[in-house]
Amino acid sequence: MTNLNLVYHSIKYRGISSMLSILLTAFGLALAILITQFSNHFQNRLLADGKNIDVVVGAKGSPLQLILSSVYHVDIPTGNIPFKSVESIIKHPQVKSFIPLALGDNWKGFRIVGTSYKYLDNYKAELKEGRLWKNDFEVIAGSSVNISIDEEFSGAHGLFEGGNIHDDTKYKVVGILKKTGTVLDRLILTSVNSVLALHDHEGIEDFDKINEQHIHDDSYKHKEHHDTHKHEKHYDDIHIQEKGHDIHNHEENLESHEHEKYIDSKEYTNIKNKHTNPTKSEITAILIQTKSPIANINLPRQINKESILQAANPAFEMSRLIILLGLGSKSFALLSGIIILIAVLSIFSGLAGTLENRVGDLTILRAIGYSKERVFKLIALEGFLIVSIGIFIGIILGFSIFVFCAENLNILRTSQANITITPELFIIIISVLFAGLIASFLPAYKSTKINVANQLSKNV
Amino acid sequence: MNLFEINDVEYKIDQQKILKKQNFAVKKIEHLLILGPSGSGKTTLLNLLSGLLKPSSGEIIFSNKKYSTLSEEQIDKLRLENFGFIFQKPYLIKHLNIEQNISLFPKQISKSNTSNLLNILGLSDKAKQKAYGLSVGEAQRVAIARGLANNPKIIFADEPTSALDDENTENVLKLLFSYCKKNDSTIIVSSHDKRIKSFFSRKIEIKL
Repeated sequence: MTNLNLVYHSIKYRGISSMLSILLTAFGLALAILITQFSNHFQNRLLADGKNIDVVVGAKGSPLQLILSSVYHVDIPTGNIPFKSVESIIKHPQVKSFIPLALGDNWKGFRIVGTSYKYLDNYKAELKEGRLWKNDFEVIAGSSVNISIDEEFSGAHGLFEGGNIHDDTKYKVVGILKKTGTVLDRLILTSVNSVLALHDHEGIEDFDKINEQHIHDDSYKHKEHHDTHKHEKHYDDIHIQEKGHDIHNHEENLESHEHEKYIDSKEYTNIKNKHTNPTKSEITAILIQTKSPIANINLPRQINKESILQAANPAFEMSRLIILLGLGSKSFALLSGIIILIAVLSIFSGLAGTLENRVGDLTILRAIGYSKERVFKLIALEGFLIVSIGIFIGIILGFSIFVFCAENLNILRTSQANITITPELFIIIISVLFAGLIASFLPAYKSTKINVANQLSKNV
Repeated sequence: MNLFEINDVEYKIDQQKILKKQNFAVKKIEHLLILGPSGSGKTTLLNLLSGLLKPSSGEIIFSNKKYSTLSEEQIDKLRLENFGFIFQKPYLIKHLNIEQNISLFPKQISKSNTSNLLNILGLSDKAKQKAYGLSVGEAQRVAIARGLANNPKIIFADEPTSALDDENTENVLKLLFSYCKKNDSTIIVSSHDKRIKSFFSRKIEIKL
């Protein structure tokens, strides 16, 4: 009879105890997997969404709220800011590039964001179909937004479902983005002027032109200073901008006739006329990429000190948030560790506890010639099998729950949570396996110490 | 030629003599009965001969191998390859069925050998029955089958008939002897059952 055969029958005989150990191991591991998956997803999203955004400028209020609302689009903004007040900031010599954001409306919970093409460049977004917006009330939708090209819709006031609908003006979807794995996937993007027009605000000149002009001015200044190194850096910036601009121009040429189909000049004039008394233009925030790490600290300090605006550093605010959330994830990690420990103890008690009842069985095996080593292997193999089955079930359970959550929980579905395989995962699995083996080694060692002759003389 | 040589072997626990000094030899194909009252050390002597116990003094030699020179692993291997055991109690593994209890040996036991033994012992219709459902007599017969399953050169039997009636005693002994004859095996039985004396060609009596 093979070792595996003997162990199989033993596990089967101790059905409830074995199953309990297996399930405890599985639940402990599944919890650990869930914690690492959610944690990885959270950190990946923070990194991807916050890419190239060094400073955020918005209305006074909570700096964390400003970051969460403007960079991650998970909170309500601190307020609006007059566009005039940011004009000097975006021309600041330490500002490399900027992205305006105008928030206020949503469609079925997806935020409608007025912005510039630079926002798309920042996340290397590409069109899956259609074209970029060119005129007011044309939008492009992120990959997670359940909408089709050419579809028309009215935005609802507010950033969450349930607000008043702007029935008088409809947006039209002119493009759908490919999946970027960033916050863009769950946004509806349009020009800043579309959002401003809808809310009776004056329009603003093309932000991408301002951005480009700012870079040109800046490189001219640097030329004057004969700073070769900086000059090269700015040349790169211009190149990036121009590249983006070229794409847009190309898109414009191709699609300009389509725009005419959508909003003819009459219709556009009608929309404009509805907003008879436009107020001064306001935006929600600007996302700034600075030229040097030191500017990430100095620029917010200067803005906070000298203006009515608030500037926040996303890296700083998010590290604060991670510390706060870290306490929560550590609690889960601790809970998972405790469950795994209980599982290990259960394997230990399952094997050690029944050893007393199995002494007769092991004695007979020793008597007929099973070596101590083989008896040790039998008990250790039993522990190994229990923990391995537990790990197998735990992996399936953990990933299944994560996939289920990713498909059914709105926040995970829209942020396109995916399974990530990290070294940390393997470390957890190996640790559980190792702990299970250690737990079975003690009873296994004890089983080798059976005094065969003594046991045979007893009434076992 | 001597299969076993027992030279001045005695066994003590905490200075208390469990088995008095023994000197004898066992030849190949011999049928040896160790007689003696309860507590005289018959089981201890069988355990010493099979290597399950180490003598406090003296030497046991099996096929020219001195037990004192062999490692524990070597003695385990010797036992596995050469000895068959029939214990006073059946010591069956309860969660295994009869067939599995007989096939416990690490080396492959042929199906035909197992079914032949089950047939001879009248257990063929219960091969798949779990050991916990057997009567005392059936369990003892399974234990005998297990003792013979690996075709041992030496069969150690400790009180093999103590739980059996006259008819089954005779059947079991006939089976053991016919097996020994067929396989040129040696049998060493310890018993205080005087009914079986006449079956053995050689008897050793151990006194208290």
